[in-house]
Parts: sequence; structure tokens; C-alpha cells
Amino acid sequence: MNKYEHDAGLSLNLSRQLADLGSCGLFLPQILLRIRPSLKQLGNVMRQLYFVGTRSMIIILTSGFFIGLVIALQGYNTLVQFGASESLGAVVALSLFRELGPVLTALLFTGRAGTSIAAEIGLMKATEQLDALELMAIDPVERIVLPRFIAAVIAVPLLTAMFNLLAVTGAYLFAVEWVNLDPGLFWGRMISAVDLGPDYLSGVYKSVVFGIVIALVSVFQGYNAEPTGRGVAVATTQTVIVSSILILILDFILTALLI
Amino acid sequence: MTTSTQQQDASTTDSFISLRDVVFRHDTRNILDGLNLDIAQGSVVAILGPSGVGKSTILKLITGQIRPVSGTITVNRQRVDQLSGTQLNRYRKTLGVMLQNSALLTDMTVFENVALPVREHTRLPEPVIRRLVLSKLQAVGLRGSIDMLPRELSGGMARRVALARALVLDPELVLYDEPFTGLDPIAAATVSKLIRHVNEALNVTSVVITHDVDRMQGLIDCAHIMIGGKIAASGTPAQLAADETPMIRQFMQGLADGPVPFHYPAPDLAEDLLQ
Repeated sequence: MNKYEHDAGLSLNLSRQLADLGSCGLFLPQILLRIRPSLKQLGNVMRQLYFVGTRSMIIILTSGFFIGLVIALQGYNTLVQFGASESLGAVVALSLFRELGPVLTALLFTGRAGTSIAAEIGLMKATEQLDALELMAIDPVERIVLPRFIAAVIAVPLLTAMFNLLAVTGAYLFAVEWVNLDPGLFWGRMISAVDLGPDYLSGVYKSVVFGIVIALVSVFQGYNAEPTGRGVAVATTQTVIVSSILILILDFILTALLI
Repeated sequence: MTTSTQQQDASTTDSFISLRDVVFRHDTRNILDGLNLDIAQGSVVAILGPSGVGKSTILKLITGQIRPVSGTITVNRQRVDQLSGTQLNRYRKTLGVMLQNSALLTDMTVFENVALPVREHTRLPEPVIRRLVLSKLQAVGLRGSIDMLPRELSGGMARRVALARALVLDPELVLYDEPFTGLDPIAAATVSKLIRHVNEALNVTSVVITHDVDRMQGLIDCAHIMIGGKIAASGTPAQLAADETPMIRQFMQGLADGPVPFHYPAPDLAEDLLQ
């Protein structure tokens, strides 16, 4: 294995990965300790919320709609063999709210916004912008890292809700307009099958945890990137790899705890 | 007034910046090896030397970004190497630093970049901030560029905006890291003129880290040449140009080979080729 493969995160050097994960965890309190109730910080967070949240909406909404269509199509083809096609609404909603919504939104968000955060902070480091802030007695963690972290943590649960909404809409259009299921039956079965606590809220809890993970990994990778072009590329790749693996591992753990 | 390193050791209690016996190590390599340097208040001083000799390390030591392994760094009677986090922030508010890449924040306009330190460190009302920023941009000739983004600026313009930002809080000391690198002759001459003008108008102390010998005439009061982790010679540009020491002559005349070898240490070429 050559140096490039190693640096690109393709290495299975477990101790190094664990050390990075530990450093990443230690970065969290450093960020949280800088939260202050100030209008200036709120303004910075709102600006970042636009960049990481609003600008991620197109990919999240489009993916949600088509994933809803696909789940409905697959679900219907299976259910109809058992004469249970009227349960399609319940199957779609449960699989979306419990699992697919939070997990797929988190993975899409990592690819769209997590990489962007890591690359932006990494590039700021490579072009001495973080040094310049420090030399102006402006804390780069407070000014650059914190707003992006909070914005990502807020954005993921909101985007998950939108993903679910569009996916249910897609499934509804398939069920009612394509295979002519009764709309009342579609909604009725869905409402009776979905329990707010174990079904919907468990998905919300997951999306909050995923939001924290993606935000933390992205800002950590960017802030600790080697200040070169390749360093930024490695940080971006690592953000996707580490976030995706953590999301899937945590999904299993959270499901086991919340089920 | 070419002086040796021994003369650098002379006690200079009136120095604005004083580095004494500074050792700085990176991995196992000594970047600075017992360096002594004194810079008087209100002067424009250049630190010259070949690339990789440790010039930017001096800047980082003066700004408190790194700490020496041993030795002392004093700026305006403050021991920079001993400052705590809060003290360091207070100290940095008295500095203006123009970095090599200009380091303007790319998501902010020229106006917002220059206003940033004022907004962060003062409670001045917005109309006052506007007047202050405009006056600094006027001084560097870029008042007309307030709404431009850094990516829309040429290299020379970006340096001038960075200079306006460095000066916006009226610092006591301004540090310039390679201010002429990558600039065309007109832009370099403009920046050079501005550095001198700022020094005279605001009575600040200016330290220019550079390897550009040609730009020094008319800009600086004194230059220090660094070689081998120490100050090898000091003096005015004319005095240094007349210095007959082989190493100084090689640097001042830009000779490819000399005491500083052209070739990086390597095994014999014939042996290497036959391997």
C-alpha cells in the first residue's frame, strides 16, 4: 500500500483511525464551550444554515420523492402477492420514518454539505485564512467552526422531515394514481400503523445524532486538514468515509436501543 | 554599519522588538540556532534570507503563533513567549499582519474583510465603522472596490486590501510576510511605497520578511540577513551590497552557487546512476 492510498483513507490502520476518532470526540467540547447567546453568533449560524441547509434541499427533496416511489413500487409488488396491498401506506411510512428517512438523509447530507464544510475549512487553512483570523485575535473555532457545526446539527433533522414528506408524497402518487389504491385506505392504514413515539420520534432522535456526527466529523476533518491541495482532498474523502461508517454503526446501535 | 552577530548581542533596552538566544526546532532540525535580533521603534526593518532559512519562523515567534525551545522574545516590553491565551489576544490586537497569501476571507466583500477586526473587537456604531474602513481603503487606493469579493481582485489589490485590514485598528507593529511575492513590478512598487508611507504616517514599527533584495532600496532603514539559523549580517541595503563576505555576497548578488550550495546533499552522481 503506497503513501497516497494510506493518506486517502483507504488504509485499515485501526489504531490511527481510532486516535483520529478520539481527537474528533475531544474537539466537540472545544466547540460547545464557545457557544454564547449573542446576535453576532446567531447571524453567523443563520448564514451557514442557508449554505448547508437550504442549498441541500434540492438533492434531499428529489431523492426523497424518488425513493418514496421506489419503496412503494417494491412494496406493492410484494404485498399484492399476499393480498395485502392496502397496507402499502403503513409499510412505506414505517420503513421511512424509522430507518430510510434518517439514514438516507444523513448520507446525502454528508455528500452534499459535509464535504463542502470540510473542503471550505480545509481550504481556509491552506490559504492562511484561519491564521489571519488568529492573528487578528479572532478565534477561528468560534468564528468559522461553531456556526457550521450548529447549522449542520439543525439542518439534518429538518431535512429528514422534508425527505420523509416528499417520500410519502411519492408513495401516495404511486399508490393512488398508478395502481389505483383507495386514498382513504392508504392514509388510514398509515395513521393506524405509525406510533408517534417508537416510530416517528425514534427517527427524529436518530437524525439529531446523525446531524451531530456529520457536523463534528466535517469540521474536524477540515480544521485538521494538511494545508495543501491534497490535504483538502483527503479531508473531504475522510469526511464521507468516517461519517458514513459512523452513521451506519450508530443506526444499528440506536435501533437496538429505541426499538 | 555592517555588524556581526556578536554586535547583535549588545544589550538594547530601547529596542521595540528583541529576540535573545532564540532556538527553534522542527522535528530534529534546528531552524533558529541562538538567534539574536533587535528592532528599533518606528523603523522599517527587513529580514532577508534564502527560502527555507527560517524568516517566517521569526514572524510566527513575534506573533506568538509558536514558542521557542529556548530564548526570549520581547515586544514593547512584553515577553511574548510567556503570554497566556487571553494576554496573547490582547497583544495581537496591537499587531497588524499582512500574510503572504493576503488571506482575505473569501466569503466576505472587501469592505467586510477590512471591517471584520473592528466589528469583532469594538462596539463602534456602523456609520463610524464605515467611515473608518473607507478611510483605510482610501489610503491604499481601493475605496472603489468595497463591494468586490477577494476572487475578483488582482494579487496586488488583494495585498493592499490585506494591508488596509492590518491597519484598521491602528497597530503599533506591522509585520509583512513576503509582501512582494507573485506581484508584477507595478504592484510590487505600489505595495513597497505603501509600506513606507504607512510607517511614516502612523509612526508604526514595520518588519518586512522577504527574499526580494531589489525592493529594499528606499523602503527600509535596516536589513538583517539570515543564514544558518542566525543573523549573518545587518546594515543598510548599500552597506550589505558592499559586504565582501562570500555568503552575503552570494545572497545579495543572487549567485546560484557559493557557500550556500546549488545542489542539495546527495551521493555521487556516477554512483547514483550506476545503481
